[in-house]
Amino acid sequence: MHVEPPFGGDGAEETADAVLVSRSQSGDMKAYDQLVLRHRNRIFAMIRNMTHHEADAWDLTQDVFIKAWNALGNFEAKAKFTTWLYRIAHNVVYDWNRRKKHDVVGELHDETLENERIDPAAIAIPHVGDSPDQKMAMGELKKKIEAALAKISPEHREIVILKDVQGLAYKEIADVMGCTIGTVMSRLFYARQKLQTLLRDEYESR
Amino acid sequence: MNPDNQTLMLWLEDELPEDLKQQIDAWASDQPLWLEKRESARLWRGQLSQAMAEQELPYGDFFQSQLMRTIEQGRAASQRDVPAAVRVSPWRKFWLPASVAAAMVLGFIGGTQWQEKPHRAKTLVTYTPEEGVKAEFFETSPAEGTVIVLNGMAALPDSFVSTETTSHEPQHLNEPIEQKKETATLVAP
Repeated sequence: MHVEPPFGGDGAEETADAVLVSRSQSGDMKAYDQLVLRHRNRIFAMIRNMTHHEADAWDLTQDVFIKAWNALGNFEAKAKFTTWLYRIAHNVVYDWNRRKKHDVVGELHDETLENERIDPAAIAIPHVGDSPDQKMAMGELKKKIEAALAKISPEHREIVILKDVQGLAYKEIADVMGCTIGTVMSRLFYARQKLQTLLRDEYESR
Repeated sequence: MNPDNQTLMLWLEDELPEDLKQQIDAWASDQPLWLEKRESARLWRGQLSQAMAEQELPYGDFFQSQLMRTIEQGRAASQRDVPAAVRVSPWRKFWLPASVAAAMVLGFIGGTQWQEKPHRAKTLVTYTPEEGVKAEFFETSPAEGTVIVLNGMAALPDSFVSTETTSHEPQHLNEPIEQKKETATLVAP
């Protein structure tokens, strides 16, 4: 099945990226400078949300763009530059996690929520409309989400960040994480379910 | 129409191609629960995206300049490495493999031709019990023979001349010196 990027994608953005990538591949440093400028905030946001550590996220974002520059010769124009960049960021964060042996205390484990199969009727999307966060200031909402994200596994966290925060399509996430669309759907389901539980607990404790 | 699970999940995420989306929209028009779920999903994504998608990277200018400097240093380092590899002139590039190949062939031929020569005892101890007799020896490599000349010795009677010789066995240097006995035909001067 053909899967479209979410919200129809942005053709103009992609075209602009493609031009800058092509110039960068010819050694044009100014073009690469522009590319970095265009994407640094979202890559930093992704890494920052994954690591919950601003200084490390800053350094890791540098690593991503250095690796991207070094590998730019291998980048094929048929791929989407942002997806490719997220893939590099995914690997950088994965390596960082491995080095740090980062294990979040109080993390919920998959087996506690294990289900045989996913029923779309039970789709796990937090009911934000019914919750008090409608009245919550954006900064406060952000803190709550961050706290909840910190309590789920790195894989689930990444899925939520890529899908719900960064707006990537299932297919793109599968490319970034090197897994199937089915796995992405399954992980997202469980990740949202956990997040929903955590946020509900958060609201109820207030 | 009863859409499958995967199609429904893609529909909830607004990821279906337009034609298929219209079909599911038609199906969902009398499915208020599904329409509500999709609305909830959109709201959730919108809020998360708004709250967390864009985070201003701190010290952006410094980030940019440091990144470019690192990349420049990497480029300079790789360019320094490249000339070392290309320093070989095209002429040498062409002849170098040929020379190496020729050297290998010559080495192989030389190796097959070369035979280790047996080591001969270089030290001969001469002793002449008769006073006035001086012994000298001459060694000839090509003939592999040693001639000992006894100067001052009286002529031997014809009956004394021995026609027998002993064979000369090659001996190695690592053998004890006592065993290195050389025997040669005595030749009257």
